[in-house]
Amino acid sequence: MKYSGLVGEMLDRANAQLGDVIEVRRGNEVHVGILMPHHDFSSESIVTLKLPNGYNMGIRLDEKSKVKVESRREPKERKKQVLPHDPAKKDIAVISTGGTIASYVDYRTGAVHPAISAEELVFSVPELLDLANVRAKVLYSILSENMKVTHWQGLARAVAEELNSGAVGVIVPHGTDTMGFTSAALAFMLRNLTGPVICVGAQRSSDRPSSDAIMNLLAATRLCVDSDLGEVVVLMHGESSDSYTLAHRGTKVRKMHASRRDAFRSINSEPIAKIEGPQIEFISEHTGRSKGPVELKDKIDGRASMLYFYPGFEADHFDLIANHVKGVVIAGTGLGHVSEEILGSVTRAVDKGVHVYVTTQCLYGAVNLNVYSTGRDMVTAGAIPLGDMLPETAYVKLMWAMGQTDDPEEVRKLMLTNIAGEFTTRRFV
Amino acid sequence: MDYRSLGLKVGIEIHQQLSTGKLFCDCPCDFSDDHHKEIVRRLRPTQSELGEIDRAALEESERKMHFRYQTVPFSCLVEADEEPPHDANKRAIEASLEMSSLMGMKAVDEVHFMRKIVIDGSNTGGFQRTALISTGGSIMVGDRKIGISTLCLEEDAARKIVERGSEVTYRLDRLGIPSR
Repeated sequence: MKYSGLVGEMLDRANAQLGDVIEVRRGNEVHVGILMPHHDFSSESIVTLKLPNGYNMGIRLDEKSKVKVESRREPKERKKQVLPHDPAKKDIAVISTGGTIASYVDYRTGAVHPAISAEELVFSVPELLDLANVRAKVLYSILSENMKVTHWQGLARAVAEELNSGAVGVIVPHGTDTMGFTSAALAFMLRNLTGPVICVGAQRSSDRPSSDAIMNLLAATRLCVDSDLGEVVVLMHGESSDSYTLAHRGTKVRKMHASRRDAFRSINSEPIAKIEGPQIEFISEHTGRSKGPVELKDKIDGRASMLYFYPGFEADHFDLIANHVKGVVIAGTGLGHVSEEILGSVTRAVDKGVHVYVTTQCLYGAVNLNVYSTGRDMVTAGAIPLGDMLPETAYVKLMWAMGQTDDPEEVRKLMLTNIAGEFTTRRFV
Repeated sequence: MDYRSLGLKVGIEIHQQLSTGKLFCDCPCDFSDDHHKEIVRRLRPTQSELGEIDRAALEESERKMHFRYQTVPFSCLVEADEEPPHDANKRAIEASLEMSSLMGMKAVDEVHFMRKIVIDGSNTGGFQRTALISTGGSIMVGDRKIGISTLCLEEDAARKIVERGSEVTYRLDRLGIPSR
């Protein structure tokens, strides 16, 4: 976004800031326009201006070019916005973590910025305030691929605090890429929920009039205010149309498309609820609100890895990773298989005390290590099958279980107990 | 009325579709008499610089419209606003440069597409991508020199099929056809 090289120096010398109107002279050509941010793929010698007719133009500068500021960008006063409080309405909390949903656009330059305050986020969807009082907080401002275990823990603490101080539900605006990991982590860390914890994202950013953020946020608010749900869910569009949203169980949900609005799908289970306008329809069984207080089990041991098996996977690679972690989740082929070569690695890892759990990279369906000899050999080697648990959920759960106890047998018990709906035993036709 | 004394100046904007394939996806520039799927969407004014939305404008937009998009058998996710745009069509840019050269225009040093916000539903994303390609040319018509100030390359809008009450139906076949 920043200019460098000759262009950067010339702009610095002229003290030109993004958004200023500048004049660029090159030979007998003169161009006047708003200084736009440098595009990552733009050449280093190019300055980009928004011309008075609205078009953007890349102009190549050389040593003889001249740049001067015509007029400064008018500093806009940022009014401190205060969220209203109506005693007749219920309180919900919005704890933002960042991502597409929590970004806004600088209309002068077109640059997308993370929302600076939670108030900004809420006021970008003022209809929220018709439904509830909103306590808003920006906890993180990060892209979801940069989430770490410590972020999940901080988030779980913030959620528990809000629910335990009277919020009827918590909405967590989150980048979509790893939202399923966060929802699983929250589902294991937060027990006895007094209301829904709803991770919400957007596949089209709020700088587009076609953004899905608004509808998703409104549906999440309705689920907080008008339902008895006491679970961690992910709520996103149910189809490409702006017709209804679906709430998916936090441990059973996965982003199944790189860009579609309805990318999130419940895997091996039905979504929990369908929200269409003000209507909330529960599709499958769910846990209701508890009387509280919310219990926080936020210890996590991050020393785990998730390994995706593929033909040609070398034992050396497996061993290298297994030597550095306390637990491995394998996403095996089909019913959960790995090659004979990796079987040796599994044996070595288990012998060293590394937890080895098995899921299927097919995602749909369950691991079964009893059917083929490879599977039976894996069990003999000490690998433990995890039924139809998603690989990502299993990875998160293993770190959480290792955080709860050091006893391998206790870890195993936790892993095989259905704690937050991560297992289903019946998969319908 | 004496237009000369008023200082009236009239420019003409001429659009020409290109048959190069669509500007930001790999779909053909064909029209279709029938459609197969439908997607219903709303558009909403985007945030102002301050991160605020004018409540009145918002209600206006909500009261107003929803849009029914008919996809045709060769529509793709880019046209449905379900996938980011692909790289701009090279042949369309080359055709624009060729035309610029024929009219003696000066091409910009670097082409930058920008968004024109259009919330009448004619673009699934709520904006139209458009770029300035060249400036300052002319053509001779008889013995008169007609100035050509700018040549732009932009994606065409979706084709309006019908408008009923608060619903406008568009077909996606025309959306994204390069036009200059």
